Amino acid sequence: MTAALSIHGLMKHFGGKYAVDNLDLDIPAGEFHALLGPNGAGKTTTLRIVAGLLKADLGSVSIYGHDTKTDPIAAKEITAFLPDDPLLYGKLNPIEYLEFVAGLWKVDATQAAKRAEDLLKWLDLWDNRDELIEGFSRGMRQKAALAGALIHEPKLMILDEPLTGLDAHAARGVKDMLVDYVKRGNTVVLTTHILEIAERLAERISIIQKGKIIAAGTLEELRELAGRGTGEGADNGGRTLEDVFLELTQPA
Amino acid sequence: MSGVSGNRGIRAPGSLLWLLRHELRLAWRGIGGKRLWVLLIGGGVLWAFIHLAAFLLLKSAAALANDPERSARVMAAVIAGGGLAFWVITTLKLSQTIAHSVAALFDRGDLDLLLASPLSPRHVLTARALGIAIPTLLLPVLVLIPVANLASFFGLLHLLAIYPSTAAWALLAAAGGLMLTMSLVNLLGARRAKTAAQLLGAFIGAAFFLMFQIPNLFGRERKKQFSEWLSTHTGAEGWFGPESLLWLPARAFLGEPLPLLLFLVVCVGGFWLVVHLTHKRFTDGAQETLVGGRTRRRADDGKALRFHTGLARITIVKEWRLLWRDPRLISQVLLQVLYMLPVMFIGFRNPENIHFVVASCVFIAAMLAGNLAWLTIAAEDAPELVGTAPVAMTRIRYYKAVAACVPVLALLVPLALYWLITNPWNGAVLLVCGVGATFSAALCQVWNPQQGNRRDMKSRHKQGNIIISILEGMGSIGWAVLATGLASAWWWLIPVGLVLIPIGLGTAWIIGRPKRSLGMLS
Repeated sequence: MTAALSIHGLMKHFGGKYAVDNLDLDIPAGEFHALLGPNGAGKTTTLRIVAGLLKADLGSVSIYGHDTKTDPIAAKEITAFLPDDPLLYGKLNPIEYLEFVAGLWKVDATQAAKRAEDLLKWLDLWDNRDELIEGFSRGMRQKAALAGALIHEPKLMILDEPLTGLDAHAARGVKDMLVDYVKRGNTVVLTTHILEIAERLAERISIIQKGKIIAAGTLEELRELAGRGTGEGADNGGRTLEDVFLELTQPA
Repeated sequence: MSGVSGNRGIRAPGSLLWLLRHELRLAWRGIGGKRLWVLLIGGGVLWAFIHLAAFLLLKSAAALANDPERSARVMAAVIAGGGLAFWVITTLKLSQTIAHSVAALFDRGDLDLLLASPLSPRHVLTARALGIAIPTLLLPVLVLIPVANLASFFGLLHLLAIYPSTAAWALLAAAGGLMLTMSLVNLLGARRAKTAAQLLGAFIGAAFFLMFQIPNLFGRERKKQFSEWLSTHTGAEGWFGPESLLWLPARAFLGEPLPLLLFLVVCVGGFWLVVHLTHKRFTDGAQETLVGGRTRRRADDGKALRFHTGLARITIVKEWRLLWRDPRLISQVLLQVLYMLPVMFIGFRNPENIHFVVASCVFIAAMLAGNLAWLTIAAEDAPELVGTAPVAMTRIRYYKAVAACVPVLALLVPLALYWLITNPWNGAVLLVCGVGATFSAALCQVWNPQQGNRRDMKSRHKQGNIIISILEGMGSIGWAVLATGLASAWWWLIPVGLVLIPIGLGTAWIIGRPKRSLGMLS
């Protein structure tokens, strides 16, 4: 089976410090995967390399079998990347923004217009469709960016802290949408500091620290791994992901 | 609550001086880095030279004391010249203080923090207003203060009035800028006022330049009439005569007691009054900008959405929308055209200068295209979106360059076509060299993509890659030189142009190759 995302031996340094250090990660298609890690662990750098925004020093990344170095256009066609603070065009309204994004991903104009209408209605931005984005609140901007990420129906969605700034209703809507999106056979890779979201949504979780994956698996597998470290063995079913995360990432 | 400053001294946290120190520290760090040292050393050397010039000037002025008749004549000229300079520079300062007032109100920085603190809003505004006044001191401190510094050596103690007058002048400019900006906020609301104030500031700056060009536009007869009118009004009783109230500020700087007193009262009083009257509106305006005005455009209720096809079309239209909806950028770009208008008129009035006009048009086309291409390519608002799109970045950059070139060609081509009919050779030269210069400047940006911010357009040459700027300039000058050579039949200029253009463009293409091949943002 082709992996949705396959990362091998990825290295990236800034100055004298490795932000990503020989990182390996395989995410099968149709999985909801959470990438967790403390601040500065290398999550965003890894995701930016996958999205084609940063060049890796070494290693390979492939998306549904398309190598991002040798076949970047094919890889990008099926990928959407939503950064934590998406930069939008303040002087465009959301419809003009979505028209541009659809144009970039070569979505058929009629299809894109229909999809844009559905997305804006679903994200509660339809009544604001004629307003310039510069007047939007943080949450509205996040929704507009999310609509942009969804308009070309990517097979792989990479989301860096996607729920930042969203109200409870919108956050719930986005979470439900992501679960439904994965059920339809697509793949989501998400980073978040809200561990409860990863605990509830993700099928598998990878924990990254100092540029390396230090643990990966289902929540149960991570619990067991953390339990082994503390000598508690399998008797740790009540532990939350937060406990497990803190256990695994605690300074040596 | 009267504010936290209480009676703990003028430098206590929360006091006016404390706030002013905070403003100055931020402004100082804004200059920052290695540039600061270059500016300080360069400025110091320049200031020393100006002191030397002031020394020689004062020596001559002191010598005049023995010749009362000549001294009176010189003094009248100094008052009129100084008075005129005062008003011209005041206008430029006003343009500067409007820009700073807009920044103080809209580019929030720490304004939210300050207004949320228990400090008096009037204190906050006074500190901001003083922060606006201080940068306007630069020119007078550079040019006038050396005169005051050396005046006592020559016994010209009345010139010590330059010190308080200079400070008062800065307060006047700050009060003027702040008052105009706040009046616009009152009239138009915070969001529209921002745009209006930016336009006002830009055009006030240009107005004097254009006013001084007016005589050049007159014919011989009109010029004569204007000279007669001027000599009538510069007579003893005229509006611009030596006793005119217009020159009162110059008299204040020269230390005449009554004008000095009046000037200080007007400036300091005006500043106090403006701060006193506008502090409440300033706070309200700041809150309005915090809430953020919603810009509602047309509503097409009930109509189905229609998207257009074709990446080229979508990208170009998007770039035009972004340019068109930013009036500040439009004003900055149009100002470049505005500055060229007098040159055009000279050309139209005197056909013998037409080659000069052709060359100027070619150069301005290149400058406009370079700026617009920088805005569309380097100042991309959402580089991550474009970077993750399944399209070659270079292709997008070419579309953006087209978006930048079309408005320039829309201005240039009609002019060239007009000349093609009336003066075919010059029309053809303008068409070929103008189009070439426009595309050359845009290509330099395509080949050497940089990352910038829209608001930095005016300083793009300073902030970006200096080599790219030089190469872009080399190409533009090359086309202008070629146009001059062809239009004026100065054949020796043609090879100069033909050498400069490929050097500029070729080098820009070569040095941009590694960055282009990367196809990524970094």
